Amino acid sequence: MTATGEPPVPDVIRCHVVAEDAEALRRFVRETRPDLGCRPVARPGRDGVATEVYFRQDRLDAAMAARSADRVTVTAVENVTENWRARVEEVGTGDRFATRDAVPHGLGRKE
Amino acid sequence: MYLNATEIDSAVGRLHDAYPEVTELLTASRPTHEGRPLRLLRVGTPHDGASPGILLLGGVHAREWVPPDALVSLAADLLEAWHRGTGLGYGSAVFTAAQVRSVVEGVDLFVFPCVNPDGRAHSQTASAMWRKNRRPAPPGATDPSCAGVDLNRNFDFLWDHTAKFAPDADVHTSDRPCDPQVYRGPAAASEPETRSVVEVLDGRPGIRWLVDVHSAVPVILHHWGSDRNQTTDPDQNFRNPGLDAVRGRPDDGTGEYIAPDDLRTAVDLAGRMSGAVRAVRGGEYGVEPSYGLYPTSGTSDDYAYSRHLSRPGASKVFGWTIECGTTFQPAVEEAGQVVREVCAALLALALAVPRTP
Ligand SMILES: [Zn+2]
Repeated sequence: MTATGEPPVPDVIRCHVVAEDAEALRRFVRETRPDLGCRPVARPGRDGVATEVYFRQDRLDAAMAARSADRVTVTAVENVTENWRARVEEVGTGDRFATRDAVPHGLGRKE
Repeated sequence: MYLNATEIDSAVGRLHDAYPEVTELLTASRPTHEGRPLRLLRVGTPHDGASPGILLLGGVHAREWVPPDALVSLAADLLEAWHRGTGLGYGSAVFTAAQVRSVVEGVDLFVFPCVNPDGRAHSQTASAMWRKNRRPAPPGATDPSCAGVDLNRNFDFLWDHTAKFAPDADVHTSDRPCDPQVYRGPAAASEPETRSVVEVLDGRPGIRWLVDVHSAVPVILHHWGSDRNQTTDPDQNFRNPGLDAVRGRPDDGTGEYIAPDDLRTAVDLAGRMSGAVRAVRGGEYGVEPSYGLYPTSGTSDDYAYSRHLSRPGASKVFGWTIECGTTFQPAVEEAGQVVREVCAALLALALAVPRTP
């Protein structure tokens, strides 16, 4: 169980998908229904049209075996859940700006 | 360290405390579903409302952790540099003291760093890929995915995709509450977070520019997201019910009208932002229309721009979405570099917009 009492969900894998054209990519997405990230942006690349999508680990094999997958190349890039477990350690705890004299400073060089 | 939701709100308050003469604290009329206040900071010297306004949004999508930190950083940098009379440097991008003054004294920056604090808290403590807000799930629903609304599908722009788009357009939104990513909500602008953005646009007609900072691709997107842009037939537009059966298809010969001058302005200013990003460390944020693989509806940028076409008297507000960085939750050192890219981009925009609204 997680801290909020929700059952654990399988890890999520970020995948780079390249298709020969946008229609092949759409067909793959229609069949496998991945999480398309913030916006469904596809970019032309050397080998066709590319995008990044997110599959749950337990659905990745099925997605790669999908009928429409023969016209796309799917490459697992990152286990985003594993990355998140490390990043959570880098989130502020409490409130660093709780007191009146704690003024935030930005990352820009004042010069 | 990444800012948590509480810290973002405190940071906004502290910046107002520290620089009361050049800031104003705005609080939305309704808090979030979990009771968090929705607050933003106007940065700019007091005036009679004659400065052009830029509304900057961050944290609309919970799992995209960098944008809120970037907006807090930008506000803090501008205020400190203005106060000390210095310029600002981000990597190899340099802004002079005169440019900092020109922004703080010539533009109203409405900095809304975290539009979705409930979602951020959930994403930073319980659920890596949480995107939506935390609207309670419908009664009887037990799947955790059934909570929440995708705020960037909840704005009142072609919101009802089942009525407004071709059935096969595969609009990137959903009318199913249990869709884990893109549930559009029970009604347009149903969510307090969405309404808080609408309130700012309604209440501050000097706002002419909106940038919604998301992640990741990276890319800078301009209107429209609902269909391919076209500049020749003004009748092909989002208000035309005759297009409801065909809207959103990729290559059907119809598209959403955008006036050529507006398209030029949107692309030119996006190019300025892209150039500033490149100056930081050589990163490439391309400039593209929002319509990509699929159409979208109910997004903040298209809603902002659509207002002047659908509401008599509303200001024209150009909108962009910056998809910053390459991942949702980069390690903090890389996050810092992305923060610098976003800050440089937004400063470049603030310098480039015309000073008369
Ligand atoms: Zn997003």
